[in-house]
Amino acid sequence: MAVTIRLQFRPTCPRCDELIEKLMEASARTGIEFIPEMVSTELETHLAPDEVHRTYSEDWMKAHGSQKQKELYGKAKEIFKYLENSSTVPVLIVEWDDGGKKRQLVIKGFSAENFDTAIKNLIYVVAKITLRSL
Amino acid sequence: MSVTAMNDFVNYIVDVLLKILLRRPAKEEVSVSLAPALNLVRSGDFAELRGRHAFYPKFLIEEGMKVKEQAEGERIYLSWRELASDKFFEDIEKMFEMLQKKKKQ
Repeated sequence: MAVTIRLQFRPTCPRCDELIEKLMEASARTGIEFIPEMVSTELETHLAPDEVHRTYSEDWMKAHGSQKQKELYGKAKEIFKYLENSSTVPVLIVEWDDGGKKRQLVIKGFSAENFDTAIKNLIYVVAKITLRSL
Repeated sequence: MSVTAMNDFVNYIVDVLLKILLRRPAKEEVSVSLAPALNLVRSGDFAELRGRHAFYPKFLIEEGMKVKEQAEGERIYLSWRELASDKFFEDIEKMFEMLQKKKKQ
């Protein structure tokens, strides 16, 4: 079962650099596929929004949002539109294929505290996916 | 016939005569406006609008094939704090159990 870890980053984000370095190290040790992915709404060449902010858009809300989410979107439309234009980085995505279905774990944010435990947990999750073939 | 009755009668006759003489000549108002489509046919801009189609034109707008929206994969949103917590293992195991139950169904 192929599991990939993607990291969505922005070039002007110092925390992203730190995380990329550490994840590169981890992938070299464990053999997990790791792909850094540049994401930004500021640059004209990279208009791809990140996985978190994609969910704030009206199209996403209409297509995949629950009823409660739609109600909330109707109330606070302006705030959502403001959030849509910004971007959150780093976003870590653990992605695997489950019998034709795509499953993802989207982890947003990063802090240097408890980094080792976080990486251990991440490796544990990847191992579970590969072993149980989920 | 008294003088007042005479006077009333003359007044009445004068009123009637004035109404007849001063009335405006009746004009037959006929609308000669043509259907806009017919005008276009005459000007030759839309040659296909002929016959009855000139009066009831139907424009067909070809729409592209409707493509089904791509189904979003199942995803769980977490924060880094959750990933770094000690109880993360329990949560993940619960998640896997749920996924397996779904798979069996």
